[in-house]
Order: sequence, then C-alpha cells, then structure tokens
Amino acid sequence: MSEHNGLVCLGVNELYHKRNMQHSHHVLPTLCLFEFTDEMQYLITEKQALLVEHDIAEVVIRTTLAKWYFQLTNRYHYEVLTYLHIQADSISFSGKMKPYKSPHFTTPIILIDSIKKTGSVIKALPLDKLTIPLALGLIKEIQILSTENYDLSDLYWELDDVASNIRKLDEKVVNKLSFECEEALSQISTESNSLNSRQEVLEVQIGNLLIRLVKNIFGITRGDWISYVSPATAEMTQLRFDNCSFYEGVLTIYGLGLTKSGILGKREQSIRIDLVP
Amino acid sequence: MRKARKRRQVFLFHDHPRSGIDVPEDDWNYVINLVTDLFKFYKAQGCNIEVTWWGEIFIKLPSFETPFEISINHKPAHIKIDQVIKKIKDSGLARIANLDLATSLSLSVRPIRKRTKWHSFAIDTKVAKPVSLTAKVNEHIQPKISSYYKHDDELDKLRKITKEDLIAVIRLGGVLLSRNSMLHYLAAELNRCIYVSKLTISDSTITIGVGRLYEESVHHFGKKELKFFHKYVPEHIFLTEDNEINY
Repeated sequence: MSEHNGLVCLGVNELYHKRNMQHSHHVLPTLCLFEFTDEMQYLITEKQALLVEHDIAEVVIRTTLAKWYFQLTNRYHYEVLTYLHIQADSISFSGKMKPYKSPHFTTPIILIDSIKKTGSVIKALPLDKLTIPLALGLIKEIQILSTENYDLSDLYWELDDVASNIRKLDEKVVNKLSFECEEALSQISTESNSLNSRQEVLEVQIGNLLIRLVKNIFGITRGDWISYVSPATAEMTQLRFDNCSFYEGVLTIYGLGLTKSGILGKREQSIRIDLVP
Repeated sequence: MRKARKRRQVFLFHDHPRSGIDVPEDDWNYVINLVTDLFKFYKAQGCNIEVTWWGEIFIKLPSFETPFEISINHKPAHIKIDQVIKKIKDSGLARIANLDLATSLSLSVRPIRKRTKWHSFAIDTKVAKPVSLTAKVNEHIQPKISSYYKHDDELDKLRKITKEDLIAVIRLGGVLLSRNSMLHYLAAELNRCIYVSKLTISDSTITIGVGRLYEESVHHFGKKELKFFHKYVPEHIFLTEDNEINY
C-alpha cells in the first residue's frame, strides 16, 4: 500500500427496510407481481452457474418480468426499471422510478424453493466422481489452504497466550516496562491482527472452493435437495443443501432435513464425507 | 393530453393523485385513438368535454347536471387486491391464480360527486375499436348520474390547482433538481409539517403558512427553479395572490 487514493467513506442506510429517504412513502409500490415461468427459471439457473464459476455472491440483471402495483392509485405503474437479484438459492426484485437515479425500493428475499411449482427433485450424491482428476485437484487445493489455516490458527492462539500474559504483567505491576519490551508487545499485537485477517481471507477462499467442488463434482448448488447413503453405516440422510465446511479431510454438508413424506423439516442435518482417504 | 402527460410525473409525489391516462409508451397510440373515438361519440351528443392542465378528462352529458371523469390505466382485473395485500402483510408472499398480467388495460369512470366510487371496464386491445365499450360505459354511468338531484361542488374543487398539487410539484422538484436546489430542502421541511395552511408561489418566492398559528415563511428561489415551475404549474399561478385558482 504505497500509494494512497484517498479513503472513501459512505453513509449507511438500512437495507430492505424503511430507508431514511425523503418522501419515500409516496413512491413505494405496494406489491411486486411476477410469474415464475419456465423462461424465468431457466434464466435464474443460467445465472446461478455464473455465481459458482466466478465466486460471485449475487448476480443482478435488468428484467421486464415483474410488475409493480400501487395501492394509492390502484394500478400498475409503468416506467419502473426492474432489477432481478439472483443469489445461490434465492431471488429478489428491486426497482427504480423516474426521476430517481438509483433503485429505491426492493422486495424481501425469497427462496426459489418456496415459489417453485413442482417440488424439488432429490439428487443423490455421486461419490465415485470424487476420484476424477478435477476433483482431486480441487481437494488438493482445499487441503493446502486449510493446512495453512490450521497452522495460522495455532500460531494465533499461541501468540495470544504470550501477549495476554505480558498485558497481565503490565497491569499488575506499577513499574514501567522498558521501551523495548513495550515495543515487543505492540509488535505481537500487530502480528496477531494480521494473522487474523489472513485467516479470514483463507476461510472465504476455502468456502468458495468448496462450493465449486460440490457443484462440479456432485452437481449440486445451494438450495438443492440431496440424499446420501453412508457407505459405512448404510444410513440414509436427506437434506436441503444450505452450507458446507471442510475440517481435517472431511467435507460436511449442512442443511434442513427432509422428512419421510418428502417435505422440508425443521431440524438441521448434516452429511459427512471423507475427501482424503 | 399529450402536454399534460409529462406533467403527470408530479402524481408520483402526490398524496391523492388525480385521474387521467397513465399508460406505457406502447399503449399510448392505441389509447389516444380510443379516447378520440370516445370524444367524437360524446361530442355528437352535444356533451361538454374538458381536459384539465393535469390531463383529467371531465365529461358532462347535456341532460344531466353531474359530470363524470375518465381514467385509463393498467390495473389488476378480476381479483380482490385488498385480500392479496392483507395476505402479504401476514405471510410476505401470496400466489394468485388466474391473474393475467398481460391484459390489464382498463377504463374507469366515476361520477364527479363526493365519495363516489370508480367503476372499471377491461379494454380488449385485440379489437381495434371496441364500440361496445362506449355502450357499456353509458349503460353504467347514465343511471348513476341521473340519481343525483342536489348540487355538488366537487367539480369546482377538482378544477382548482390545490395546495396538494403544489406540494407534489415541490417534492418532484426536490428530486429532479436534487441537492443543489432549495426545493430539495423545502420538500423535506414540508414533509415534516403536519398541516400546511397556505402555499403560494410567485415568480421568485414560495410562501408557506404552517399550523394554526399561521406562521408564514418566505422562501426565495432562482432561475433554475422558475424554469422548472413553468413546466409543471400553469402560468396564472404566479400572477395571483390566492393559491387556489380556477383554470
């Protein structure tokens, strides 16, 4: 960071709720209406592929597939620029009307599952695909990053131990510490801060790689319904894929469980798969 | 009506938007043709047709004292939208069966009286000239307007440029001219007022009376704002002292 471009600071508005904006109540639509057509579903699936491919959290596109109803005038308003926000398992719409220059209203985020006409198809996890070269490559990469992460984590906690002891010492005694000692203390704390931020970067990277792994190898994305039969116990688990993590060679897939009658349950379930033999 | 169309942007900021034609560009020509036919039909009967500064359409049949107004826009047909809104408030999401978003153009009429309701007719855009529509409107409106016998001053009220209109214009100016304009700050101030008792615009000042104590404040504006006002407010507004002026 040798060159400074000047720090940019932005005000913060509450998102998706009452924004502190002038006369917003006059220009807010009451309802957003859209039809969840096959065309729209295809569009969403297509854009969701981009999410995984480029590690994107949200894709926003302009659309004409939604209409905005205003209760005050009891009609649909035209000339509303509508944006469709596509996330891994959900969508939302936002809109902008003349003379505003940026979107000034949005719908809540809704799960795609909740608007699908037909129930979701339950997909089985093809475990045999874990041995293909692409999978092995990704697993290797994840492993390297996560090893680095563990090492950093260990170092962080060890350092923290030392630093807190020195701090305790500083608080307990009245005598002033020597300058060198004070210096060392502040260096330790800088070091532990940078370790912490490096760890956070690693965690995001690992997360993205994991999403890519399950997408490319198992063909599943967030929100998909999956079933898994454990090779060891032959026990079957069915859940909606919400999140996944990696720890010591084991991939864990979390999500709300599916009940025997094939609907979404309330309890969180998990699937553990050994990636590293 | 073409001229008024641009001014109707004001109604986005209006507490009680006025009636008239609000349709997208694609439908505009079709609707204008339809309205022209409608006007011809009523003219032939010797009706008095009035189009206001804001693009409202008032029609007075020769044999009846009460006129009626016409609105054309897109609205959800055949469903009870209030129930949908209620459901959304409860659960955040509602599914509506048999609502066709594509065909929603409709014509609404209302006798110009206090507390009268709008009645809507769907317009079939596939038919070039829906003759039956005029008949339907007539069938509905004639018995309605013939049932009134007392005089009502609703029409005179509608004809005036009201405080509400001017507040809406100021709000629009606040957004259009953004932070560089005093209208931006004036609009914010007006929104904080519970009751505005008086509002007049001259060619360089806006005078606002707030509350019961009738505290008046005068706000000066420049050329930029004047140019804006000339687009949205009729000329004579600047000339008279009283803010509620006849056309």
